[in-house]
Amino acid sequence: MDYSKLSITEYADGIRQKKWTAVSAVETFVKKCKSDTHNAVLEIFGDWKKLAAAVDKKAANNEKLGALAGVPIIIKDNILYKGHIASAGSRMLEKFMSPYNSTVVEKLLAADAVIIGRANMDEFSMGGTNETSAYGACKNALSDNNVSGGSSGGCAVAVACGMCLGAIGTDTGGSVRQPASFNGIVGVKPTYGTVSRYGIVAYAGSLEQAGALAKTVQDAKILLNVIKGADINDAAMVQVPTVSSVKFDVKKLRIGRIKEVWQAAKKMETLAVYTAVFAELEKRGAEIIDVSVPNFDKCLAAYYIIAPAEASTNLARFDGVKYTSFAEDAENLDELYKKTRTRYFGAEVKRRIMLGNFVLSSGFYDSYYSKAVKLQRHLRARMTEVFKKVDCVLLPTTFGPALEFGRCTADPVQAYLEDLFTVPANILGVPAISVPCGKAENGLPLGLQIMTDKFNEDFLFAASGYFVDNLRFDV
Amino acid sequence: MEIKEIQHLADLSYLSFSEEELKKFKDEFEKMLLFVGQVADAEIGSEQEKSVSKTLKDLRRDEVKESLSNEEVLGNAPKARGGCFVVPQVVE
Repeated sequence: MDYSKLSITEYADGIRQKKWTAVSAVETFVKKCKSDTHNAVLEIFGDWKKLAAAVDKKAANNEKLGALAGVPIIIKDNILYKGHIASAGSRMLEKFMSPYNSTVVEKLLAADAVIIGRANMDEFSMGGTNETSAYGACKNALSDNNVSGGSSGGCAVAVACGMCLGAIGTDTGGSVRQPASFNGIVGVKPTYGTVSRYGIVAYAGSLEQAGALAKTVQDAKILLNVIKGADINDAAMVQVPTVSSVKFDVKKLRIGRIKEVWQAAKKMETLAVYTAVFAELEKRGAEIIDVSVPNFDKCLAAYYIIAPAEASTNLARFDGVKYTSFAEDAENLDELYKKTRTRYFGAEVKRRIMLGNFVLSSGFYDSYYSKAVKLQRHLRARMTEVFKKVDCVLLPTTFGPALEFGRCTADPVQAYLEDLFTVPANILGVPAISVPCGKAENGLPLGLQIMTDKFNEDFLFAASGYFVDNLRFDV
Repeated sequence: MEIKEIQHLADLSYLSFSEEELKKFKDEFEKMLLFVGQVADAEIGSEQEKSVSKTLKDLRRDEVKESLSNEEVLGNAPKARGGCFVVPQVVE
């Protein structure tokens, strides 16, 4: 039996009803990981069988099992799991053994998930192709010549290839949604402050959230519901207000199209796919509302100031003293810092540390960092108003399908521009999801992105579920 | 930007670069700054011009409770001795 074709609910029900055991079912996934040629999984954890056996024992004793009963899950390499390596795709943490569990892992284990391995990623989440990983790039699930996307590239490919039933990645500027889009699966980034960052290797803490990658909207919803929730260990967690659940009705749907980014979308080769989506939704009774939000497109510039600024600070902790990798030949403390960092950080990480230190440095702080944060606050206020008039904003997830290897790495600014559609949700702190949306001419998948107001995840899942079930994306 | 300034940033970042890398960095940096510099042109009205302030969120209670053991904290240290991290000698 091919368990990878099952939904999370079908699979977990099978465990509960003792139709199959977690040990035997998970083994089929582990086998796929072992024979994988995409470089999606950096390590298969040796103790998966112990977790699976514990689930089977619970099932045999008719104990209540959690939402992820025996479900094989892969976590991004920057999520701490006690007694296991978390290298964040970097040589700096090549041997770093997590001394404690991240909250996300605690929640997965409490839901009876079987964590089977850690997935490849761009180094410290800095990249959108998985090519900055110190452990080699990850290939696209559907084409060996194309990138997996990133930074949670390994997670997306592992799900798309059936190596697990779901994966937990992190999304700082699109790192869950973009690789999901490139590999034809679903990826969701939740509202900022609803999923704990405790035990996740920090890149830009004010923007990032863990998110779920899965085959279907329903599976992504189940995963997100498991990992979200209050945590005293993360000071950025917010009190989630009760949002009255509305029944999704396409005839009452008000869809926003933001002029400032839609202009860029108009130049895309794959534009027809998205205009068809708008046309079809309009035909079904949805209202398309064109809104202008001045400076919305500058989210991207603000992101490439705020994220490096935080990264330069967060990565200051890697000094050769505390985290395994160090320069053995250093003769004094300054040299230890400098040689360790120069040797064990990759080029993109260095670039962002330098940029971050620049925008924070005296004389430039006001015109770069401070201005970016003010712009962020301005856009948040504007979008709160916009979300009173529209239920959601629709955007492409990316400018096109997964790029071919090597096409993005030469010019860093060109690479940064690729994030235009995904970065706004992080700058605004709102939830967004990418769902599969047809194919490009080369046969590779495209993604449709739906973004809504804070705490509206239920609406997001209802709307995206409707889109996937009812729209024909082949143009 | 001048090479001198790039070198200063590298020093602040505790990173070293070869002459050639510094030159390459200079070109890249100029492009990146031109790009992120767009924020300067954004007219966002006066209400946002106030200084950036942070509201204090709920903090944990200041109480003593069990945490990682000394061994666990030092577990990833490349060098440790007597329950402490070892660094190259700092004081003569």
